[in-house]
Amino acid sequence: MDIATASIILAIGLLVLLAAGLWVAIALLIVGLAAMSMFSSAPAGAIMATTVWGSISTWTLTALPLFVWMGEILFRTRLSEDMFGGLAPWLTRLPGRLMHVNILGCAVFAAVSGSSAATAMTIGKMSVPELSQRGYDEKQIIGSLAGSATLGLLIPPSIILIVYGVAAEESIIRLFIAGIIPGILLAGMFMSYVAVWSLMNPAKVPVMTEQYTLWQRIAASRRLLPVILLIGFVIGSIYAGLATATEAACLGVVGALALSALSRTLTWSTFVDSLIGATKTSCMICFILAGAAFLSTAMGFTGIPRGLAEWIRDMQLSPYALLAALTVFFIVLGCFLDGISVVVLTVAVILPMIEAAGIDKLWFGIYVVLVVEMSQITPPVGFNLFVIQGLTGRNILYVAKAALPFFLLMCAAVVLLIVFPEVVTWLPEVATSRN
Amino acid sequence: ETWDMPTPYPDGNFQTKNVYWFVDRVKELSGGELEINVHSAASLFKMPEIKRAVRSQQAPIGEVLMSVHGNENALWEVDGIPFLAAGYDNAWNLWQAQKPLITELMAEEGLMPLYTVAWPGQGLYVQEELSDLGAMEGMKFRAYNAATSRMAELMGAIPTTVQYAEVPQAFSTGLVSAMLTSGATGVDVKAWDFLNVYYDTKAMHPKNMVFVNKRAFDALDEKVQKALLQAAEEAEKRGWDESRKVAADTVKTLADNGMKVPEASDALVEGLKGVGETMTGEWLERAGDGGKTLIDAYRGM
Amino acid sequence: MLIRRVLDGLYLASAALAAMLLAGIGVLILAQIVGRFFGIVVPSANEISGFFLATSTFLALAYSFRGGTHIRVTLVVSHLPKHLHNASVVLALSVATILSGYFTYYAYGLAAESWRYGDLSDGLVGVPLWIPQSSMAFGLVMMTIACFDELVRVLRGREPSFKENTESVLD
Ligand code: NA
Ligand code: NA
Repeated sequence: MDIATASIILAIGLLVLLAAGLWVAIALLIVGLAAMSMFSSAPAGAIMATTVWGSISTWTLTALPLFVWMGEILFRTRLSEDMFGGLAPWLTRLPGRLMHVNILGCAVFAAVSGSSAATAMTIGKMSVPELSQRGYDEKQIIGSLAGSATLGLLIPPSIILIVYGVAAEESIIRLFIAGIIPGILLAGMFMSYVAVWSLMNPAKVPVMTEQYTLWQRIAASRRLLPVILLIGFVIGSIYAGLATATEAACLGVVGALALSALSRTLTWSTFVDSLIGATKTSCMICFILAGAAFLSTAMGFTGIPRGLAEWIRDMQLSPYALLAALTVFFIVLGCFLDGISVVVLTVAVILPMIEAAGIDKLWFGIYVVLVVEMSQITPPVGFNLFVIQGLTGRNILYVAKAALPFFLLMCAAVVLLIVFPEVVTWLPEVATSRN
Repeated sequence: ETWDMPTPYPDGNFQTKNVYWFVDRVKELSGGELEINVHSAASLFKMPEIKRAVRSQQAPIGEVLMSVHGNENALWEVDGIPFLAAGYDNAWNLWQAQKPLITELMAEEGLMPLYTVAWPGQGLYVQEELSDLGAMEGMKFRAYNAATSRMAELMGAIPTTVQYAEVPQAFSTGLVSAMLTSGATGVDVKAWDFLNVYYDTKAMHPKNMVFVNKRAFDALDEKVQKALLQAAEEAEKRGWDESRKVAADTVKTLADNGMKVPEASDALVEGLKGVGETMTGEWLERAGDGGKTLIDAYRGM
Repeated sequence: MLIRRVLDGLYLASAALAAMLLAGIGVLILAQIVGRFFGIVVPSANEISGFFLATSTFLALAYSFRGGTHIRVTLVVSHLPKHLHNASVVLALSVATILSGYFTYYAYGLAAESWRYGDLSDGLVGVPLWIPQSSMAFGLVMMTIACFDELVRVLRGREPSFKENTESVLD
């Protein structure tokens, strides 16, 4: 069977299984098994067991359940109420007001966490109830959360930049530094969009009832102290050399427990509830990750992603046309496979093309992260969609629709990066020009 | 016939490049009867899973860093003992001594070694030049397995676990300040971003091994079997030559990027050799009779 | 009914163990951070916390499945008429039971092979891999039972338990 027919059959198969109401992880495993039996005589069941085991018994994932647990603990404190209460007086003039906290919260949390699922879960657990209670538009809350949680991948530390750096033999430190400005740029674009949207839809923004004097604002800021201390503690531990980026999640849990104890919300029952909640959520995310890992291994056996990449290579495109083709390629593949798998499966074919076209590998790493970020919010397989469905009970298509404007903003950011590559390359050059 | 081959390292790595050369040679020598699809960068199976996957015929052939299986049998990690076999010639002799024992060990799992390629010799990365081993006292030393951890202890340093992917960040933040690894790895992680001095001690040459499932091999035509073995022999020779070139190039790259590459002082060398002797003794205790046979054979060369 | 109580007890007990393992990850990593401060290595902390995560995931599978934590897309099936909708749930549960059973068989195979060859993890301490791997198999056995349990429940005309998930932060 040729690659194109097979890809279409498998994609339709996945859509049918999902639409029939099958659990996501199980649907992914079944499509993986089908793909393997279509293309390879290798023992599919044994490979499924091996791959699933290898993909979740790894230290790289251990930060995820800890961050989820941290979110569950903080959810049971007054931290988010205090944070929103402390910020509200300062944001009265900014169109969209507290909605920006969703975006800024994700951007700041992204500096601690390397995963977008952990970012969506931890920030969403605090911001979604708070914002909806204050009367903000639900679709906008969910969309901005889905979009900005993907910043977890771009703002260092970042798992996917490590994966790319190892595969492309590019300095991980330089990649991390290169991600900073595009990350801020993207957060800025999201905030501008929220501001413009709020000006255009005044009816959907809650009415502001209170006026604050400067003194009241400063007094309210005291309530920000706990969250600032917590963030400072976790980020500080990484940069002071006390903990690696993976270990920092553990300090996040310790800090959250300490805050919870100080605010007298820590009891045996809230502790157990938070732990059980984290266990269930992390089980759900890891099981989907396992399904995605097996599907991606199966794709490796079928050679489909590599074949499609080779097809693009053989078109001999000019650099701009090549980037356009690759963007479409990543977006389409990113609908069905998890973003990191797409990078791992195709980097061997794509990197030589990139080098031959004279495109900077460092720049390309950030470009790849941006397109992989998009895959987190495109249906049917998008991790932020799953996490947010689990969090809010809204189905993934609703979430994807809410996140669509943010997806388009990311497309715009890709264009910006292509037109102004200095956005990526300037900071690493300045920062590492010590010799 | 078409085989899938999981390998742990990315395409740019000289080990992977050699694997590609090997599979091309197999195709050529077998007259196209055996094609091997390389799945690099652990995209099919993660490193610790590769041996098990080949054993149970999930893939017929694979590549692995031998010392990963050191916990299962000490014979796998003899090339991880510092200063037992410094330099390529000694490393080659060590492999010749190790080969019959490993072949026997792998046969029990239905596996068969095809060839190995040594990594460039490992050297010591530190922030400042060292007068002797005493200067390592209390220093945080990156450990990633039992051997490097024990070595740190014997040097008076503090073993600190840091995974490969977190190396750059861990050094930049001062979480660790020294490590023992090859010049090639130093270039891969761009060591000059966060380290200043490299001692090219060539302390040991860990090896990657390409191996097959015995049943899959037996199922091949005799002609194809011969082609596979001959390609393996040629790939081994080529791989070791390439490794020497990479070793020379990478040390030069480190220096070109501003790292100091000084000669180790006699006192430092003495200290490190002492560590090596202690570790050889400890390894012999773990490895039992097989270990003694191996070391005797090596020393007799 | 006795069998009901035994099953519910089993789901809950393995979830409780899963929660302890998740907390264990935090304890291990904290020990590693603090230990490093005093020059003490916690042997294989990274490998073991990876095993804890895998084990925790599978042990919690059945419990969180019944609690409705696992994600499915109900957009299409929820628009079907009642009897077709019920049929779709039966179908989904049947497929889930078969897949879980199939997976259990191979997970058992993985653990059995590690046992047979005495496979050990790499890192400072060689952990016998059959131990964490057999808890993966055990978790999948529980998952298979839970899927079948739900199937029986739905065939008897009751609402599936995973519909009762009320933990979402939006109403
Ligand atoms: Na991040
Ligand atoms: Na997607």
